[in-house]
Amino acid sequence: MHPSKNPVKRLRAQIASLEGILADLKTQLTDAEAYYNQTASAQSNNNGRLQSQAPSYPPAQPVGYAEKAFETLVDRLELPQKDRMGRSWELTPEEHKRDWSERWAQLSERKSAAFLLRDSGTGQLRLLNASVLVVGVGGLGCPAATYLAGVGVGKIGLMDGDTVELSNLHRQLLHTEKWLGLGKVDSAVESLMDRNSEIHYVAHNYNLDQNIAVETMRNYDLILDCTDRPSTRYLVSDAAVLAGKPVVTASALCTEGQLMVLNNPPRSHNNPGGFCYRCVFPKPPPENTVLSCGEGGILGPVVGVMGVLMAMEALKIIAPLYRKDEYQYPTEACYDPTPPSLLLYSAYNNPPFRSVKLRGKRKECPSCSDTATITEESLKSASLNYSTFCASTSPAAPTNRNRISAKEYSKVRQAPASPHLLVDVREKVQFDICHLKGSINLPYSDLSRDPEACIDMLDHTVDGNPDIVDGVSMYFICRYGNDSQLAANRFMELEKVRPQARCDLRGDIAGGLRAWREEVDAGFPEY
Amino acid sequence: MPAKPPPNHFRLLYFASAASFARKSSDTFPAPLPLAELFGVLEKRYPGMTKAVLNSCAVTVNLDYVDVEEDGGKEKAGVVINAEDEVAIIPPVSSG
Repeated sequence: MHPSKNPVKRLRAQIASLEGILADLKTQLTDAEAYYNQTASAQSNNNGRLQSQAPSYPPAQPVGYAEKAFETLVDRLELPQKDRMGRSWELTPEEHKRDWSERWAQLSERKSAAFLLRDSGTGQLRLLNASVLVVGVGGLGCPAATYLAGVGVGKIGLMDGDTVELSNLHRQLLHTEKWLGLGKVDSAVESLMDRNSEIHYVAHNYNLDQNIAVETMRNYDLILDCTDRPSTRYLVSDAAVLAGKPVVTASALCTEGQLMVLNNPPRSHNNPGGFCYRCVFPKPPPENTVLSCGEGGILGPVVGVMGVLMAMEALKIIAPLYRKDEYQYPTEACYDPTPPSLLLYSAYNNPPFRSVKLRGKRKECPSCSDTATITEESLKSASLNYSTFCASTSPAAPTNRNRISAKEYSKVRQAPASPHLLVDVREKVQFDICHLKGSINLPYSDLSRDPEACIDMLDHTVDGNPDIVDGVSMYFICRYGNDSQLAANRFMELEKVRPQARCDLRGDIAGGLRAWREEVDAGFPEY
Repeated sequence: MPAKPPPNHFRLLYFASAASFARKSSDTFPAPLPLAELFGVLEKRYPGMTKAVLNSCAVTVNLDYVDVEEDGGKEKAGVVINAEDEVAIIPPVSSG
């Protein structure tokens, strides 16, 4: 029997291995204690008392390259007295230096920024002293935060109000099955702590709120927009312009992704700043064409690529490889000489990457131009409503009153003699995964593109089925009850044009197939 | 790489929701075509596309961002799309 399949043997092997590790740790502890006592007694002999500010920590290795290099750096770069991590601002300069030195040595040991080290170490110091807010800890936020933690960004804020769902796991790599139903931010912090516990993580267990967005962003040097809907994309951009912070924004859907760096350099009293999200996309997309990853589908590697690219753009801003000789705060050092651009990733296109040259700032941009109308007050007072703004390009809200619940519709199905048509308006690929028995597929996208042909198709169905007569009742259904409502409205408009339509639309099923599963048949597949 | 467009045509690339609406990733159209007329031509081929997709899109000609609205408002003829140009319709993608 293989040892791993024999629990007794497996446990014995495990214990033996752990005992080995334990013995090793005990040896290390004895050495460390000896070293510590020796230095402490040497100091008390010198001064008659223990010096509080310079307890010698047992070095993992003899003083080496890292420490020496650090000393040189400290002399050359004026290290800030005020620490951005909020934990050492009250230290004396000596202690401060030591604190930096230790953290720097640890990071050097991690080889976290081996490449940036070529830049005489200034890049790594900048990373240590930088703070990044990751808004949205999903498919983009997980890989981005992982690399930022790995490379040693001093402070990482994670913001998300969602909980971990099974459907997230294939792409949101920080979350695992044991965290299902729990907060994404807590899950991410725990996972990142395993990777790098030296970093100061700040948990924001809520979604970006326009009341406090600007204030929150002021506590960070750089914002990563890893959100998932148009309204938050505009909010992140607007708030970051007001807070004076650059933004790396990316998105992904199906097989495509987009990446931009906004407000870089940041807008301030003496700098007009870089372009913002509104300069590129002044008008939000109509709501019914916006799909979330949950609805539209997303390939893990596509969103992963975009998240990793975000981390790299963040590093380029925090630790640029030029300007070697002076230390600056990241926000001051992030002048980006590359012209404004939008990177497109299209996994199945050839070539898969395209970089589009942008125009830069829009003269009349409401957010970042000289004539900007968006202010911190308008965000706080909510006089600027992002949902309304994003709904402005959408058709009027559906007025379809003929909705029935999934329960009511189940009664229609059970009634002995009630021939009717159930039209499923999801895309064919979804229809093929699962559908209610007897339903026919007529995607909403077809209905909105070529309604005449769709009505002909329905008429044809009526003709082809002897059980169904003219004027048969018809119901629409979709996944969540949105498209079915739009389809029903669309169909009613058409009826005015074609009164001779042979089906009598009785309405759509509120809540769609999800409601069917919840209210009627728990066995209906969830996908 | 898509094949070269036929003579006196330009290639139009669709991304994201533009590709879903057109159900393809590219098209060719006769050139020259004033940029200001592009949406009209597309609307004719894909009824409903302007409202559903184009109004919120970024448009590029040979990888340079162009402003269709600003261009349409000019008195004199603005940008003209020439044969063999590569035009792209880029809707904002917001999921992640």
